[in-house]
Amino acid sequence: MFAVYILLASLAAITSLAAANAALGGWTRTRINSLESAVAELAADLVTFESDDGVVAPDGRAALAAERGGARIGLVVTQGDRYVTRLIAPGELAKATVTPSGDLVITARDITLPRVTIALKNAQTAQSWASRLIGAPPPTNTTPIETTPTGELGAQANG
Amino acid sequence: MAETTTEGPVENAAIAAPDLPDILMWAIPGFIILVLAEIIYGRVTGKTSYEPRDTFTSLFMGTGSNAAGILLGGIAFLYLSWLSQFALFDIGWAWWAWPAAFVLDDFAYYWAHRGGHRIRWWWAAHVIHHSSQHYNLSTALRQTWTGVFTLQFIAISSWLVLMGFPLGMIAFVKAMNLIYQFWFHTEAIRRFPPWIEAVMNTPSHHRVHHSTNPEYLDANYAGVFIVWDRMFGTFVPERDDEPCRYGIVKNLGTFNPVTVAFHEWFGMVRDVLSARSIGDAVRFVLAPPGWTPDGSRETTAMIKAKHRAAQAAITAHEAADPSAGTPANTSASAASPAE
Repeated sequence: MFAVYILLASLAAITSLAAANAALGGWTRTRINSLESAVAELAADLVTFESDDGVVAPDGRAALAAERGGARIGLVVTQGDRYVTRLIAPGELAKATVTPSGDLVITARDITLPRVTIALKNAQTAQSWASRLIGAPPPTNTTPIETTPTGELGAQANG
Repeated sequence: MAETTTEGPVENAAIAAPDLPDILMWAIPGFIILVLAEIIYGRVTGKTSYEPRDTFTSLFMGTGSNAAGILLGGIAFLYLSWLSQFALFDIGWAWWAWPAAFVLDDFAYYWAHRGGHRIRWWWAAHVIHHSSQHYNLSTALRQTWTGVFTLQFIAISSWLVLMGFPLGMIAFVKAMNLIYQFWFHTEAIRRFPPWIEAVMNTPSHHRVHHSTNPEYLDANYAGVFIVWDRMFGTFVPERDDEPCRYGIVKNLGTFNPVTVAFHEWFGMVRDVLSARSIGDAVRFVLAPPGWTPDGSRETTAMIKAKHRAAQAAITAHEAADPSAGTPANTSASAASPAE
């Protein structure tokens, strides 16, 4: 019984510490400000990575960057005040889907980053990236994809 | 256990076992106070970094590790008690046995820790300690829940038991070792005088150990004395021009403690079940983390080789054209705007 009290006290103590950490602040949720910064994160994590084709969520919480000269796609999501990156090969994902509102939902077989929702709010752009992520041919019944940065749209990483 | 006599060197064995305090339990309030102090210090100076969810996960993992130790530690104790009957000597509680046990335990810790990074079975438990992208005192407490299960603790302790050190002494020096390892998980201290850095494990040396920079991978496994790394070729000094990036080569996208605790076990089981031969299944368990039959994932050795190749390409490029910058194929670049 004594051990149970110790564990409960420990739980209270660590919750208090995390609460103190939150109350004191001193950290900021990070964001991805540009494709360059997303690629820099990928290059740092993967040792070598370059890209000149990608998309950054307008709220700066996720980015996708196609590997130059390859079929793989780099994914960067924010995690608190840090970033998490993945290099996704075609066919590696469980699925990549587009919601009616134009969000791109990535479902991985990786339990440490199982699901990422990128709220592009643009079904055409989202479908194009979904196709690339799963290694399928790009959609053919659409007009060319815009190459300007997306607007005021959001992305969310769920872990 | 070897027979105890009252003559000669083994006279020390007759010294009664002291009533040793549980110093790890006594240290816990100190750990909590120091974590709080470092949070405040970081807030005031900006020299250390904490994120609340990361902090909670680290501390929760520490609490869970303690609980697992209470539940499973008894099994390890029973085994080591049984093993002690085969001890070569009966060293007993002589004064000199204490520093000897401390140093030898640290030597054993070095090898077990090195194995913890090179053998996936042990890494599956140890990865938890490295899974934070922060390096602060709460990271020190981010500990495994499955350490006893991997038999790593038994592997460290068995040979000291077989030499004849008392179990209570081994447990005590092991606790001292763990307490020593708490304080150097910090960015608040840059470096100590060279003579300290030469002998002792310090914040600077251990920052390297927690880093994923290719230059820093698989280095500085020491617990207390950094001399083991210097002796066995795994020492890498921290460089001011190469800031540490903390975490693991594939960082976790979650703060969920259960996922943190078991993700590598889950991956290992999935790999074993998908193996095409018994040999591959065994290698999925015992080979270095990242090993796959087709090389589709990367071990740390592969990452370091890739980095060396990239560095060599830069050097060759600069030698060929000193006025040129970094070659395009080794740099991060992003030329076009986002779609």
